[in-house]
Amino acid sequence: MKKKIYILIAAMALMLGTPSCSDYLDEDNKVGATADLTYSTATGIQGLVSSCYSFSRGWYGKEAGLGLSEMGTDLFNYGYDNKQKSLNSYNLTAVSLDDNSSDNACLDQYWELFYCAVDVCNTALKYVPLNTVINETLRSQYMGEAYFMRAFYYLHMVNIWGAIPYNSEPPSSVVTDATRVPEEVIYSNILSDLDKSIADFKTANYMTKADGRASYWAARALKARTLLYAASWLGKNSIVTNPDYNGKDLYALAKAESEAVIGSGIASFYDNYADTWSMKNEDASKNKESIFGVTYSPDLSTNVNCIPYRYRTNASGSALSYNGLITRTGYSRGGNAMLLMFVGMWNNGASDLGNNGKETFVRALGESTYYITNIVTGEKVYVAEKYSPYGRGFTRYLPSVYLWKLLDKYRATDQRTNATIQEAYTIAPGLEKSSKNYPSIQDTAIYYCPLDGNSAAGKAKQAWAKGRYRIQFLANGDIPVFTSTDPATAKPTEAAKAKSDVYGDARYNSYKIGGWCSYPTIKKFQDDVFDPAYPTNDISSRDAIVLRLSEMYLVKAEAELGTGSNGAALATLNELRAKRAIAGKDNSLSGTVDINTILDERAIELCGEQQRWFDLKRTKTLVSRVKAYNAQGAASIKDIHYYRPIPQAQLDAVTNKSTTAGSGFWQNDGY
Amino acid sequence: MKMKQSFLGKVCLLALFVIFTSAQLYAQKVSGVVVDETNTPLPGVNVVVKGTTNGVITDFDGKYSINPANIQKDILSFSFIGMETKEISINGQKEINVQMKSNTLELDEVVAVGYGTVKKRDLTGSVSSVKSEEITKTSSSNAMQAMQARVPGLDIQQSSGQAGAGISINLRGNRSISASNSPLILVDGIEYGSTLDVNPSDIESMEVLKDASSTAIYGTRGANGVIIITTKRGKSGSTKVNFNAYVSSNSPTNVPQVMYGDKEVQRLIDKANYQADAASGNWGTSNLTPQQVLTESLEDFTEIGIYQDKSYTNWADNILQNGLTKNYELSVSGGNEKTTFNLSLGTMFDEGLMKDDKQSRYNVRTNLDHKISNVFKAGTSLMFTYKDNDSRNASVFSQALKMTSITHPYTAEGVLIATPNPRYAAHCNPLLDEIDGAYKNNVESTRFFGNTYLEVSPMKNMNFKTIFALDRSNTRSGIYQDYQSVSRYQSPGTSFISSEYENKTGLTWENTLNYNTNFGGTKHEITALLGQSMKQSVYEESITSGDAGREHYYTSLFYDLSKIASATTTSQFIKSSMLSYFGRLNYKYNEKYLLTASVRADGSSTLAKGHQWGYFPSVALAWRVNEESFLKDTDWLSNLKVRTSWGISGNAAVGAYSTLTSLSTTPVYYYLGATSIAGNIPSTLGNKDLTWEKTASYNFGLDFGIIDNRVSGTIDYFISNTSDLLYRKSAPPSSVYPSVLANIGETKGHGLEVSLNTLVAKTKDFSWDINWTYTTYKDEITKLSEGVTTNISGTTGQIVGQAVSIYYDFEANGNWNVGEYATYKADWEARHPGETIGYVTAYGAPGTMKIVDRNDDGMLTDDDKIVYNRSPKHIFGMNNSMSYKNFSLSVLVYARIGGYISYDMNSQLNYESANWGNLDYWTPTNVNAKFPSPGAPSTTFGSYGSALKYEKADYLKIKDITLGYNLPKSAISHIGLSNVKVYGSMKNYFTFSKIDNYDPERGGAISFPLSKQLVVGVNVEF
Repeated sequence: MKKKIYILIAAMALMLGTPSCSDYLDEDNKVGATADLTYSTATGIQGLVSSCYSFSRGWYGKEAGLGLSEMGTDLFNYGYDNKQKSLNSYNLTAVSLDDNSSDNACLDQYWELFYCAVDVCNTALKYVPLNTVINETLRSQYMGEAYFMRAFYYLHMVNIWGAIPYNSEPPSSVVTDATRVPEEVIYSNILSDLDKSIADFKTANYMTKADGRASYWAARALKARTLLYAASWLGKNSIVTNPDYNGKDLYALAKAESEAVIGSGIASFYDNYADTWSMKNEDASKNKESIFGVTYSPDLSTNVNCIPYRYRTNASGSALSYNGLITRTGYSRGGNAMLLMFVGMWNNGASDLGNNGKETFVRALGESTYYITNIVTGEKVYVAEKYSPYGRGFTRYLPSVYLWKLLDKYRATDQRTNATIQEAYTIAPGLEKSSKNYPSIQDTAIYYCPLDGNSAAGKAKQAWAKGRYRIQFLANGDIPVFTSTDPATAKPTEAAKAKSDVYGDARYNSYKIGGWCSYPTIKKFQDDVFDPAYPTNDISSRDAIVLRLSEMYLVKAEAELGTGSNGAALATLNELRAKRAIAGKDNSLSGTVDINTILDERAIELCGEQQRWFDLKRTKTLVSRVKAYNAQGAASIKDIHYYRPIPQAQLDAVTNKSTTAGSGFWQNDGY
Repeated sequence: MKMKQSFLGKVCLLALFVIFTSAQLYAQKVSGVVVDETNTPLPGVNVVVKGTTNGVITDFDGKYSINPANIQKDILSFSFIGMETKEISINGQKEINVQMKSNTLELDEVVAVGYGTVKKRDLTGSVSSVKSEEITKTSSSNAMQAMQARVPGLDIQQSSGQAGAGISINLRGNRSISASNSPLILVDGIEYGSTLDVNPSDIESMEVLKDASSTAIYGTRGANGVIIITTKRGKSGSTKVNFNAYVSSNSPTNVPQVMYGDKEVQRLIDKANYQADAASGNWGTSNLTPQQVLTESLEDFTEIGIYQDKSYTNWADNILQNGLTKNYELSVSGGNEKTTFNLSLGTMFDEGLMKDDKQSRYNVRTNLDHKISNVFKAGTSLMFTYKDNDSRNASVFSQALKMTSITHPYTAEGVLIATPNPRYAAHCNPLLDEIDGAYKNNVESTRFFGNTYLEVSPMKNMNFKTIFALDRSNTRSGIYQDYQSVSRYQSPGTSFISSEYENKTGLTWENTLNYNTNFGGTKHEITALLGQSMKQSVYEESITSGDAGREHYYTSLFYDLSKIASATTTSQFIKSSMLSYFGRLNYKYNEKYLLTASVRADGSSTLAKGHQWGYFPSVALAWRVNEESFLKDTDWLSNLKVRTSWGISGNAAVGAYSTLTSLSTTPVYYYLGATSIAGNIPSTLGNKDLTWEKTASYNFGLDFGIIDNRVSGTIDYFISNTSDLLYRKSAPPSSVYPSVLANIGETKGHGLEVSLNTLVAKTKDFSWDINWTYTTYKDEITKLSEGVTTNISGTTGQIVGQAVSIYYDFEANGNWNVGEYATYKADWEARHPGETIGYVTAYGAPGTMKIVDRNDDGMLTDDDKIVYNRSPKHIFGMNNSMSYKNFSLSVLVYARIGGYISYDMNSQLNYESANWGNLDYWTPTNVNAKFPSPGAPSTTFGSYGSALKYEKADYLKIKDITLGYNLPKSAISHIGLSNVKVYGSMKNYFTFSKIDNYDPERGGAISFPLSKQLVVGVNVEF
């Protein structure tokens, strides 16, 4: 017995001695990576630098980013199913609506997104110099990219909110108070970042746009834009904090930068303007006119196009998602949503076109929707490739009367009219006469006509269209798109027409034929290449081109105007217009250039490209132009709207909240 | 260092054992028979020579035989659960026959407490116990369900009717904001987890430790209460075989209804009428007909045709079915004086209410105890569980709820119509997932849960126990979604494969030393416990998933990962360890005054160095008042005890690695140079100061029994204060991390628990007793981070002064009538000259929601929201047990009053093209309806629709009615059976609530309805 006990004691002593006390309670972290470890590898630092760009996908090519940059301007009205109507009707508040995606300006989530984006850039700026495995050239290139992206994000932020907190490095602890840095200081910092970026790219000799990264010329193009913004918004000699710019004429600098980019050969014009927007040329690194863009992978089935998760977590610590207006398809696929934004109810609202439109139109979703049977011949007609580009009727935006008329004005001489606006929906060959209500239908099924339906020309058009296709006039007539031809009062029509004046029947008795559902579309962003592997077109892999060559001409012209060289400005505009002219036509302007000339040209060239709100803001024409051209917002717009409200979530969380501008953390005036 | 001290201490202790090895003396034998009040032999009675560990158990015929050391002076003690313990001096007798009396008060019943057991009479804390008879009285796949309505303070709810669905358990309200509020569940002393896979008939008892004096011995794991499950062990004597089987037919109950047939047609008409009225401005004038509205068609039908021949489709009927559950449990137990065993095998086949919603489970268990000598005893408990679970995608339900009833699921030829909604092609057929192989979600898991112990009793009253436990589980979760299945059909239109492997390993080693002594002529009795515990858990997981293109993999499903076009692999590794020391002292004076004091020290790897150790003390006092001389003669009072306790326990909510700053594990991609480059970006800011949540609580209790314990009960009142609450405090997003984990919050709670046993009748043939339970509690947040009184995220959050679990949302007040908003707006502007009203676009349109602007500022902000408390105010349970001759009847009634749920059916308003819940909506002639008009603009509902969801969750349920019949002994004894009981139950048949077609126990969820069950079962014993 005793022997057994001794054995047991010995065994136990062994067991008790096994776990050494000093390390039993040590953490052993094998998967949750830490910064020091991850960013010391070549792959890790490459991933970090590429992640600097990822956040830009939350703004470019997304519904909410488009809303904040194009809504509430002179160019667009909201359509039936718009999810950000408050941006257009200017009744937005500081309330943080977070995940609500029914009427949400999303400013609270963008506030978060931009600060996270800046943090990733700051992290890159901290860890790239510490990485010893990459070579000096690559290190300079990475630094150039990180400086570029930090400047890029801050430029958006300062234009949205004005004075904002400026983080120049990753945080080491929580800061519960926050300081709003004056706009001039933010601009000084942006210019300083861009200069460092330019210098680093130069050191790395990274002058190409070949793989989609920012480059030397992208940085100079962004600098041209930044200088123009600063000059027009803050004043031509406004920068004082950055000694390199102290007291200098920012217009002159902007002009010099834009000229340098134009002359660099980094980008060139397509002879055929529509090629700029062909899906065949969507790749921002290959598109001839592109200088820099936000990229999307052609892989639409995995999560590689998603934006990062939020840093904000739920109660159990899991990272939260940005809402659907910012992610488009959540975190399974992401993707570019621009192809949906301007599309009206061409198929799903076409109840007048026989059997609810199904006699002529169908959206290509899969094999079963690739064919339509002609009701006259009984022949099965393949329609998928024809209809696929029309996309899906999200009814978010329609061109305003101002934009439609402006494009119409230069129809005869300028390629951009036809390449920008789609006024007719034509049917697939083989479906001729396949509509009970329009027995003479040939190629056109729906035509949006920029005429006044009450005019003589309008009436003649209507008479011709009878029985051939549905015609909707800009205003007046049987089923108008707008309530008036006057851009100051015109709103999209909303109601159905119980009885058609022309046909005497109830074919238009649907709200879906009202102007805010049925309207001419902007076709720049259409997915015009049919892909049988992905026919649904609910997301796109189109890159969002952010800096284009034509913008440099527009920057140059405006800078020339700013430096008093009116004639030079006109010449620069005409240089661009000549590139856009229909072959053999004189597309030039004449007379005196003013800011409206510039803004009109920007509208024709850049509409929908996520710049308009900033252009109106910085040129201080937002209030006057909305009052003149956007009846949905005219009644509410005020000077306070030059700044967006600071999100309530930020104000609630700071400990130095104040009600006085300039002290503590204050809200923008009027919110 | 602590380890080393402990190690040295242990060596010294073990050395002591050697010195005290007791000599084995030759002894004479005493034997006899133990019977009950009806002279039936009692097997399994503990017969112990008092003051020694020398004991035996009576055999099947009630016979025992024991060798006392001193046949003249020794005293034999006979004890049996439910009987009064009897002590008889041997005085040289060689045969002692004993008749035992049943003890209705069960004061001598032994209950499990942390690291030991005590007699119920000596309890100082608040502990409720449920014994095996109660657990097996009704059939259930999860033994935890047997606790519902039986234990005051415990709130058990089931929200889903899926096969193998779990339940939520909450004890004494909520304390934590971000951490779990679920109690610690231990099986045979080792942490098990909340999915209890143990065969219900294998359980001897379940004890619920409620107050801090009982739970503080579990230190950081005790704050939410502790449930101790003890499995059955063998008893020496003849071998017993038990066979339990039941079959249950499960059918859907309280299924939320959508609009069906003519009702849906009317909604479409009302929608079109609204829009026509809105266009004309003449409200109530449009009067459209079904012919004008039902204009849509598909190849196989027209809407108007369906309307005319009423061939509508009820989608719920199409996807729901009746399920069958079959459960078999077989156990064999027995042994001799040296070795006892209990072996069991359980199998369960559980079918849910949908095709391919099923679970099968196999349990194999061995409990073995062996006495090596008077000094050494060793034993083991081994359990192996295998589960195979197929579950369905919840999106099938949402699809069925959205789907119009004015359609057909199949063509006339019986071919499934993939997109049967003529109004919205994107709505695919919910039956797509029922095509063989189109959807598979299979979880296969195995778990080994076992321990081995060695007990050493080196001297009288001293016991040393070392136990080593191993818990290892492996789980494989595979998902296959065909491109033509519900969740993939519309987009992205590709098949999806995911396969996840995870394994968990838990190692526990615990050493305890118990010492018991009395002095001063047994006036003073002391029991002391010292212990040490080491625990380590490792979790590993890897998931491979991805898109598999437009291809059917009906057969290879998720098994063939090579079909994934571009696979994503993620993995996790989480390791944590804990080291603990604890001790407890029980002191009893004169059988009247009881004191318990304990302390535990826990060290955890998940906390930062310097913050790793925490200390959890407790103390409790009890006074057995009825033992006092002045009450000795009070005949009607059979028991009276007052108890009070204080203690601190913790909640180990800090996750591994949360004190470290870390990068996201989900990669971030960006497309550069024709490849998507993956990167890892920062995700959390570490906080080195994190520590445990701590709950200090007071408990005041009273146990009583009157009139021979015909009425007995327990009343407990508790107050608890939780501090250092882990809380993700809001930081300004401009400082990058908008939520940072820190110990900042505080909550408090108090509550009252009553349990009452009333023996209504007891005659020779008939008995009826009722067990009542009542619980009420209130919890409240007393502090958030410095200067912050509210933290709202969406419709949930925390507000100082409000309950822990709340919804915070707007208050809906019907709908705007025609012209009403214009008046409201004019009045508002008159009240606020110069200001403009700032509601959302289209707010105020007739037939849209009216939201209460509480502060009348013309804006709807957080300040206008109200609190909807989610916690119940009162929980009642009433458990009737009746028996008449061989028949028994039990009826379990359960009620939960107070608390709001967010009822998902109230948001089943799909403005575009999809069906609605069967809701009462606004029309120009039905202006008092709760829900907005189907024709109205959806913006107000889109922004504020959640305000419609809150419903009072009050309900009363007759949860279970069981009628049993024991076959007469005369009929079964000749075929060798000792007991045969057949029974039938109706479970979950009667629910009374304010919400039509809904069971509020589900908490608002609508996807997998609960079932009602008709059970037939048999228990056989021989």
